[in-house]
Amino acid sequence: MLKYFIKRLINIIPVLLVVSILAFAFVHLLPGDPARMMAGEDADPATVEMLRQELGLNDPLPVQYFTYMGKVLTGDLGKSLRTDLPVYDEIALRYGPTMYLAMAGLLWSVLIGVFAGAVAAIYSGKWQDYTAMFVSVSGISIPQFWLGLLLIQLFAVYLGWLPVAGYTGKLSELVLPSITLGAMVAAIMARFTLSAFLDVLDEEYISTARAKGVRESIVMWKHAFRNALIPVITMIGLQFGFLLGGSVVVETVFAWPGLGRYMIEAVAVRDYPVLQALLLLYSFHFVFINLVVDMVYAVINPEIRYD
Amino acid sequence: MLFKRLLPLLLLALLVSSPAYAAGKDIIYASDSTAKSLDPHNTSDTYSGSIERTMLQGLMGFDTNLNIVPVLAESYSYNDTATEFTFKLRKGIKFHDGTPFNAEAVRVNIARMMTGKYKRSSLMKPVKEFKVIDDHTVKFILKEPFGAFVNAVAHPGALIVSPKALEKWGDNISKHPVGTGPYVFDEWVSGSHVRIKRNPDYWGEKAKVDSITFRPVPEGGARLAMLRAGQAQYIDPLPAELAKVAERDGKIDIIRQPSIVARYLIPNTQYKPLADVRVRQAINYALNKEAIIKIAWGGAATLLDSVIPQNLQFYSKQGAWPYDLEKAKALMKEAGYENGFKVVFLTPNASNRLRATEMIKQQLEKIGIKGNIMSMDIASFYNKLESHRVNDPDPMPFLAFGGWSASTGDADWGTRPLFSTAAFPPAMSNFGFFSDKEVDDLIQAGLSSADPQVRRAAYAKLQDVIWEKAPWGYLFVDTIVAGRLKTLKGIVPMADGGFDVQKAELIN
Amino acid sequence: MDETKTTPFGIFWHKFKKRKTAMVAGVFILLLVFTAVFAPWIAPDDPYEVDYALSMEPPSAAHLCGTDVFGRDILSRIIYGARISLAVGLTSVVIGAVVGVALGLISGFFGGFLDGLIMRTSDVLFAFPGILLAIAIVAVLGPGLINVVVAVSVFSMPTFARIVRGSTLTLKESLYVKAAKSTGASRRRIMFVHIMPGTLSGAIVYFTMRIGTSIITASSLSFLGLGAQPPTPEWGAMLAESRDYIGVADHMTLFPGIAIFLTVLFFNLFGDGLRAALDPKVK
Repeated sequence: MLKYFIKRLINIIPVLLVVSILAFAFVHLLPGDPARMMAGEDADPATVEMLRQELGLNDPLPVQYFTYMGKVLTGDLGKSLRTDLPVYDEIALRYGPTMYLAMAGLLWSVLIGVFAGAVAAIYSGKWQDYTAMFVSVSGISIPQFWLGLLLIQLFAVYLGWLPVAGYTGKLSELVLPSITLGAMVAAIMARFTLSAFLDVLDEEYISTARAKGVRESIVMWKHAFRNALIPVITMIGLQFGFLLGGSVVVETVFAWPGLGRYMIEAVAVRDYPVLQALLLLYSFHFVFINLVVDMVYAVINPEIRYD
Repeated sequence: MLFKRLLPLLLLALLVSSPAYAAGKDIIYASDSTAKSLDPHNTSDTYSGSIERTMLQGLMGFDTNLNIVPVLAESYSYNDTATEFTFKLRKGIKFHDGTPFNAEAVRVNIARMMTGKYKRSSLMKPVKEFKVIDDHTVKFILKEPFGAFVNAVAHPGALIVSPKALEKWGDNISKHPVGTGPYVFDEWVSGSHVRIKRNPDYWGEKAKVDSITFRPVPEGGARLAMLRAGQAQYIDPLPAELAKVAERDGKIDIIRQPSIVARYLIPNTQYKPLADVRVRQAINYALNKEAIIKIAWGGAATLLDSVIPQNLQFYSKQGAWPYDLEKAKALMKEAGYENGFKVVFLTPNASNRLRATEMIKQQLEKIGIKGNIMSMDIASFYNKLESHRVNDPDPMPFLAFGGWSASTGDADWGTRPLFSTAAFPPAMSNFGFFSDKEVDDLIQAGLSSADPQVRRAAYAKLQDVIWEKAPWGYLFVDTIVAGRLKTLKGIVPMADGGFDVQKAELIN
Repeated sequence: MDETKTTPFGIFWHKFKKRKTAMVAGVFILLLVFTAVFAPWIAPDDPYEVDYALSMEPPSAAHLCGTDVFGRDILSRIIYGARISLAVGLTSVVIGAVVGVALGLISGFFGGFLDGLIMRTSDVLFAFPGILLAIAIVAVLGPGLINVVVAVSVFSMPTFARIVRGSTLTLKESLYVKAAKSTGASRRRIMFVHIMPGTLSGAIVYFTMRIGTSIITASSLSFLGLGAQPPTPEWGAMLAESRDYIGVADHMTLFPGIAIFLTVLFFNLFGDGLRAALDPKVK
């Protein structure tokens, strides 16, 4: 098994290489000219041309790619076309806030989501089930921007308990954005836990355990819960991957200086080096998280074999 | 069970947050924009330029209505042919780092711009030679007459940075701006905020607040909420659609300032029906501008009553194109398009522009001009417009929702890139391929002198001539709407979309 | 034994109708489909007719859900919008699900190189932010509803693949499948008869959730200028268009929001019923 994981780790490198090519091609295929966007809406043509030259945008694409990769391999992600600041610094600056928000959102949404899902499964068909369902579906179907603005109106403007928006490192600033972000994730977690639980509860070993007179709570938490975890963990991994990319909507509504908003700003002006670096980072997140998820599978259910 | 465990955590979170956000002498300025640079010579956006203007100053500058005023220069003079401009500098001024401000400091800055390597290098493009006459006098000698040169010197792209700091930081000056202004640089956390502090040694009237923090808050609803909760003292823009909410709140002043952003509909004059001036005039009669302003723009605009907005230099008011469907239909009939024709409506996808385009489509349908809307993000939009070429055998029949803000504040930059034959894409922004000999000549005439009287006459004629030829469907000029707590005085929006915080003051 | 309970459909129906909420949901969905099909006869007004004088009127007897910014009847727009939102939601998720499930099954079952290829490709797809994909799709195909379908399908695929692969990995090792293997069942038979049904419950749950998500995704895409171009009365686009007026004219967000909410809710409940009915283990 160790061999399998080492192999997987090594596999990340070619994946990232492929991603780098895709990301590069993709970003350059987007319609729009970064030089034009950098120069401003009332740009004069000489400035645009000067920028095109300086940014190397007039070189053939393969040349641009190899120049770029050459730098990346030496640890230089280039400079943001928009701000002229090093992309590495710009991303590092925004990684913290996004990570902070993602963890907070994920933490409470997984706790509540899994709890609600398990309750719904155990009390299948009863009012607890319907309540948990209704609440969780609400989480998916209320648009985030709406929820965010409603929370701001209530807790920040009307009650005055919490800051409206922004991030300066205070815990209080985290409350509203993480609730908005987590609502959707909690809903997804609840739905998944519910279905995973129901599947497991039908398995024979549960009935066997019950027949043997094992206490119901032990049946639930020890036998059922553990086995229901696999799809739930897949989902947690996926959701975390998405959250690490930064939520565009939540970061915009709450003026959160994270990666999601950065990406939107970069797309708007076609900031190639930033977009490429972000795509590499996002891909790395997913490849890495999926690797961890697969490892967790193996820990939970050692019977899964890897060829 | 889990809830029991979570509850104390949540309570703790609520306790840690302090409910009171009493305003000290720090002002929070929330805007929809993000600072992109603090290097004036390499800044292309108005917002960053305005932040720079709090710390750095130019030889000349603009007041809120874009009138040119001297700042670091005492006075200036020019020759009859608009090829030589001489500036007398103020004496006894020091940069924040103690370096004296003098002709040498100006030389270093102008030389840097003239390398052609920066986004605002174009401002110095007309310059052939820069001369230091004495310690407090400088002279620009131009390659050819360029009457609008003083505007270039007043532009935020030509702010003067401490030569010592430039030497020390090079192009990293963006993170360490040092100037002569009433505020000094404190901190810039990219994507989060820029903070400036009061300059206790300022040469002019000193600032009345300790610091100002510029924070990007992109969502309009959240910006207004910050103002209402007292967590920001000034917001820009205040979403026009939500002005009613702000009006009901007794703590807020709403500030309205006409801008220099013109909005218009660009017809592709290469497409045969749109080449006919009668059809373009019909479009102007068929557009219900007032309704578009009221509904699509939240009322935050005034009619565009010349080809350049009122706050640009040498503006001269023209007649109006009243909303008159009968006249519009008659003109369509006269042009032989009684049954109309098909077009494509191109627009950027910002919600207000999309709304405006939807209304334009609704209104033009009444004179038979029909078509679908094609909206896209702003970079794709410009890409689309710039992809067309003159003499296209199969021109796209588009009507595009255009906008222009001439950041030099001068009539030249409000007309030449948009109407001259030399400005066809890809060179500049004459996206509708409008071409007229008389217009081209008048645009040149406006540049051949620096004498305001001569220039005014040329531009008055120019505006008169273009207006009747209807190269655009004339729409409106944006009004800047900002919100300010009543406890704050002195921050005002400027017509170019920037702001002025020199006189900021908190009162109780 | 009752004759109807022996055919596969009979068994399905018997189990399905036991879930009361799923039945209610089914009726709602039928009503929705009915509304969509007969929109021109049901809608009280022309959904495209503007009247600037009636801009943003709150709900009244003349306009039950009020009017939008151009004075159009919101109720009529919602009724017409059912056509578009349902079509976009269903088609895109069906395409995403079919492709995703197949890939997940292959990936989990065969493992090795194919698994690596499919999973890493899906990692890459995950990693590409939806907005970038959307802009690229517009660039290639031009804006339009078809492209919303394409984009949303692409967004859905990798999640289906991941979910199905996860359960396939577990099921492959179950006694049940091992037993089938030992009796010499073909690989194809094991894959489709023994494993696939077991993976479907997860996929179906996600499917029903995804319909709602797709409607919301479509709305953000409409807002980006992809897909539904104004004046098309797509629900998501209506919601996005009204966003500037939250706090001033809340009815403009409220009613399309309720339409989406109910649709998502009932598709979820319906999915629960389906899941129970399709699961061979549920009696």
